[in-house]
Amino acid sequence: MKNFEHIDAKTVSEAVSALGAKANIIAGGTDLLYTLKDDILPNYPETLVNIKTIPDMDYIKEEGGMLKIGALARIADIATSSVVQGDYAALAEAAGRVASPNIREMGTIGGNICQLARCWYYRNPNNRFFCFRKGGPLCFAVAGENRYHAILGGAVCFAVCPSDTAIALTALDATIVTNKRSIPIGDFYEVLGNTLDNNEVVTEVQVPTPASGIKQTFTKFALRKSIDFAIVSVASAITTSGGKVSDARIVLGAVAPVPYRAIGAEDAIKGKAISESLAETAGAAAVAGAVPLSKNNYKIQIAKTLVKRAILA
Amino acid sequence: MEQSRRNMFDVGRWDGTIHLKVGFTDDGVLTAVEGNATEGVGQGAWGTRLVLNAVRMTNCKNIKNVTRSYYSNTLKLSVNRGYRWSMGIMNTVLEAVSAELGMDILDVIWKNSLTTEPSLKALLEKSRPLFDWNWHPTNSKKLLNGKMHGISALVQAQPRSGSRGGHWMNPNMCMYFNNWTEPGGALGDGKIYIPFSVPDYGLGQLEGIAMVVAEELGAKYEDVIPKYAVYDTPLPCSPAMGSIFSDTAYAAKECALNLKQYILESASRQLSWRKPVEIKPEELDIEDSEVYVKADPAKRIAFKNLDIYNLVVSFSGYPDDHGEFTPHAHEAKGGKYSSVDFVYTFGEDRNPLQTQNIMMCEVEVDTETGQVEIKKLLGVTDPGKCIRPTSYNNQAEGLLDWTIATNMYEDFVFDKETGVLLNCNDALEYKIPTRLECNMKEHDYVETRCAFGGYGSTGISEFFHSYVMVALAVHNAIGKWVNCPLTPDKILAALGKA
Repeated sequence: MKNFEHIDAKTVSEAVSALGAKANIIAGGTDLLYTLKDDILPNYPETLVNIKTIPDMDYIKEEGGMLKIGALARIADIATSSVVQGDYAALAEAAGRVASPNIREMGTIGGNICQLARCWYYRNPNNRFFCFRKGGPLCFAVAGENRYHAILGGAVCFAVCPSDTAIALTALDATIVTNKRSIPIGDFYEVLGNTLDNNEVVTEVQVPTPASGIKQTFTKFALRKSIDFAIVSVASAITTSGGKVSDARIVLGAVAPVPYRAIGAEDAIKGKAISESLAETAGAAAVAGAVPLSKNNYKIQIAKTLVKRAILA
Repeated sequence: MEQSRRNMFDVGRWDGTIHLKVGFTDDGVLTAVEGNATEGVGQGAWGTRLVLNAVRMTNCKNIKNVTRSYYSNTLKLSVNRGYRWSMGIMNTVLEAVSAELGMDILDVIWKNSLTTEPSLKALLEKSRPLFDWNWHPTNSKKLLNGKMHGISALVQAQPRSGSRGGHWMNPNMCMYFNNWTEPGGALGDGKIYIPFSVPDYGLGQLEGIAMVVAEELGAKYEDVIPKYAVYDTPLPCSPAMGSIFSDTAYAAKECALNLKQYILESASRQLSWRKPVEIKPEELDIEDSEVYVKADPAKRIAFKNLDIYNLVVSFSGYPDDHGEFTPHAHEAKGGKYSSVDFVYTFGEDRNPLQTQNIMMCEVEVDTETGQVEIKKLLGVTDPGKCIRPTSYNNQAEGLLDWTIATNMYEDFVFDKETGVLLNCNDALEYKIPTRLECNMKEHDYVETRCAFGGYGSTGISEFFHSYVMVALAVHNAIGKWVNCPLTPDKILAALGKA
């Protein structure tokens, strides 16, 4: 690792004032330290601004008709919170599937939703592949190894959003609160990462309390039961009324650079009674626009199946 | 079938592809096998040993294999652990016969095995009920959860030292009695010191050696002290360790018996000194580090009170073609040191199949997602005689983990354009199983004592590991051959869904 200055911020405003083009925020550090040790960032930070020293930013509470989670709340605490497990089960399930137990004990919700892409080219040590995400001319995965890359919504970069909690939060229609603004989670992500400014810090995640009768799921398909990032994941929040679906949010993870709202699947089931054939139709609709790369068309089959099973759950 | 993963945990990588043609009778007896192999060998390798090991494993002698090797700079060195890999090939052949004929794979194994008794018979008797073996034809069992069920079994020989035909290293052993020549070593403490100059590999063989010596000599276990030798320790042992431990145990036994004889002779002289009746060595025995008179057990001399100083006893032997160990001429007693040399032989013309092992695997394959879940993985082996059960457990656990790893996860991924290795920067990307993926394994052993190592033992070595075990069960489940690692992209492609 190269030398860097380490600042313990006492307040959010103190943290923000220390930020700039050559500074990074560190909280749990489970992703950032990895990138520093392997020297994968295009610009190695001169300063790390530690926000773990900001008090009272690790809360998990229901207030004003919503769940509020401080940016420093640890993933393990979210996974085991009775409040989250109660009305926000998809989020609890997603948090429980993040990485491994020791990483969940260190990592924070703010870090989890802001983590960097897991692309092999992007993450190759010593900045070996100067890819589009780093300011380079191309995405090496397009002609190279792309088994874990995007089948939907890829453009200049085909790395997928690696966050498990972001998928559940999108299904639950969360809002990301920063020191500057509130961002609907649907607007938080873009192909090359997120929409945060250089002087912007996530301070809170807000999740509206779901309507009663809503059924939530989160399913993560990965090679191993622990540690691995998703090959495909799906989070769903489906409300039924009178035996028919009145509202649905179905979100696919690890298939696109951002959490992917499967609008086609949602539309396919709205106003209808759930059945095996309807779920199958919705599964196919979820991936209708998929454009697989050379080695990842298997993700289409998995995504279809996971959506079908989420609807039937 | 194809292999493209880290076959050697400490050496390198081997890539290989082999295409097989198999001839067999209607009742499942192999008549001919032809293999055409291509292998990437880095900067040197042994070659795919289909012929050698096929001949060793089965009654079928009509076998032809052509291996074409190519060299590459993708790794420093590649060594194909030929035994297991080619046993994997032969077990794949047997699975193919089983599938084609709709015949229980265990019957196919039995019919074609070169040596069935006592080892294979004992293993089957143990493993069938342990696994609750209930074979079904390929692609025929759909579970209530919608997944396809598969089981398979394979047999592998253990051509290690102690069973002729594997790596031989002549075992040697040296013990210092009542004396330790290192600075600070105690004199006349009545203990037995065994200087070693090789690492223990974490498998506890040194403790195993101490257990053997204590039992054969009649010493207290705590009085037998294996010690790592310092650079100027005379006659340090470099015993065969790891999987060749059984030979070292043999040498330890022989050495302990030599020492015992010398102790009894010395005690005889001591007890008879100025006595009217001589007490002969054969009238004495040893227990708890004390020599006693058999006819009058109250008469005892503790080791530390024996008139023995500066005694070194050693044993070094060559194994012969019959598995017997012939002691070297330079056996040393009474402080005479002699060098101990080594002989490595590789008896390719010998039959190694004295002891074997059985592995059985049960899987469920989700044909909608391509996910393979191992439900049960059983390994039952025949170490001949299990000298140190905890070491055995250690080895068996690791080898089953390794089987899961190579069948399900381990893979090298290179960028084809640049040749850069993409996925080996950490344990996240180079995947090995976590505990959650290894909680279904079981293992046990039988002891036929039919091997040529000490106590009829042999090493289980790496032969409790298979590159194809899970793949064979997947074949039984879905009727498709899928190359390892058994990732969902390959399963779905095999099923025509990707």
